[in-house]
Amino acid sequence: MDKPIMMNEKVNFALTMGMTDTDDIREETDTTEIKQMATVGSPLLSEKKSRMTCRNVDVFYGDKQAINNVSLDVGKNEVLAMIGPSGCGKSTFLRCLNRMNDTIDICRVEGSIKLDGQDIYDNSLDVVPLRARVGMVFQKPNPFPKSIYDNVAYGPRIHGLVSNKAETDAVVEESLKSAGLWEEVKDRLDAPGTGLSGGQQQRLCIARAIAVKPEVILMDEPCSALDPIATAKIEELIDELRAEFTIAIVTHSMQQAARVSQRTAYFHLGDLVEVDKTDKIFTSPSHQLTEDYITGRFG
Amino acid sequence: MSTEHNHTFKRFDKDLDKLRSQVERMGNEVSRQIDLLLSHLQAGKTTDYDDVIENDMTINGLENKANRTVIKLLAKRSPMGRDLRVIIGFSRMITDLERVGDELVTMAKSLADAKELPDCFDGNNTITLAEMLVMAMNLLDRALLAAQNEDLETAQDMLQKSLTKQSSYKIKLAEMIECVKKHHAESSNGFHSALQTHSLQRVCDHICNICQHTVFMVTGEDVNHEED
Repeated sequence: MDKPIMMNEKVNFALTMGMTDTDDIREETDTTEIKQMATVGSPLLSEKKSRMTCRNVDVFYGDKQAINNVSLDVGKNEVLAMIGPSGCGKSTFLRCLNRMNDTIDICRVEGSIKLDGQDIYDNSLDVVPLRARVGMVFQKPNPFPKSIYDNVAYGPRIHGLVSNKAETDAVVEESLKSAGLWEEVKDRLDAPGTGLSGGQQQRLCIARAIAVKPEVILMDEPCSALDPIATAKIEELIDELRAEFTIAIVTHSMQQAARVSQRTAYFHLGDLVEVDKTDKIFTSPSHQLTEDYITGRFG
Repeated sequence: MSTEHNHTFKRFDKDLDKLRSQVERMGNEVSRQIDLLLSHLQAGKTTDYDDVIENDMTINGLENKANRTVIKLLAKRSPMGRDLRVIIGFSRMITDLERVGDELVTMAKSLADAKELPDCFDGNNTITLAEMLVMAMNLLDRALLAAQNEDLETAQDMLQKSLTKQSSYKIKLAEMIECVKKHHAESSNGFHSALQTHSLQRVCDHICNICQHTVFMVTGEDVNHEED
């Protein structure tokens, strides 16, 4: 039997969707050698093409700076890959895009981050609907301890996007279809989500994210715990979802970044070193640090 | 850019070095073939070019080995950036070198088949053919050295000077073609004369390609067909 969801449901939903381990983040972020450098390439897009605009973003954990004056746009219907060595700040930056860092007491974000022109760090803005508009998929699949159906239906219900069973059924089916999972689970929607394979759980999490009709989906190493077949399915899904959503993905797999993204951003020690078309980054990058990283000469 | 740094995974460097040395060896073999052809020509031999023809098997074997190394590198190392460009560049060079080898075989067979050296290549003109081969060998050696050293300056210099229509090689070749048209179109050796000049032209094209691949390896720019 499914376990009940405890705590205030909205808070729980937001936390579950963005569960973070503060200690891990602090450990991973080496902030000792940050020196500002100018970004090479094309980090900014025209207003027409841009979905999220980030300007002069600094992120601090206590008195330590983890992100250093990053300006970067995420375009409509594009997959933006963020790559870089561990501790470079790519995940920290990703989490800024839906204020997931708010859950970390010592984290401070400065600068401007806008979604469709709206400042997402505006004090009057409620982060729960923000996180519906900017959904997130994590490294480790984290389905709720509920049925497959309820995992997908939960978000639309609490955000008031559905008003009856028929509407909920339709959203669940549509979301599972979009996530490429419908055919595999349509006959066992009442089965627990946690009983699915790792790849299926991740696609369930994607279905859960898209069920609330987000504009942007953030993915933090979504395939790192998956086998190559499950990874291929997620990558195919990312490619399909691009038609409808804006996607920003953090990955340690350069091949994955090359396969799924249209633009790639390279981070190094909290700096955004280079942003360009993915083809360019992986065949002929402009910055030596990018070259060294993608060719495995880093360090 | 980053050739001064080693890969974190050392086997990658070893595999790249292996490819580099295979291409170098292949280039040396092709250069040796030109030298061999030249020595036969200078000795006035018109019938026995078998060694040139047989040696082409060595070049073909080297091509197969180098291609296998390319495939292994692509499959095992998933190269990116400059590594990818270098591997692709060498892969293209391997094809060009094999084709230069084929052209030399064509020339050898043609010279062996010709009952006499074409009039155009008699006397002074015989020296012209030898001169062309010497020039081709020098150009090839220079292009290969530039490739091995990823020497952008030399490769670009060759593309802009040594291999243009105004280069001495191309001017002399044009003179030979005119000579063949003028004096040998109707003669029994006309066919062989045309083959010789055509092969010399193709050899030059492949050397030009090698320089273009070097530019690609270093800069990522495809400069192929720019003159077209």
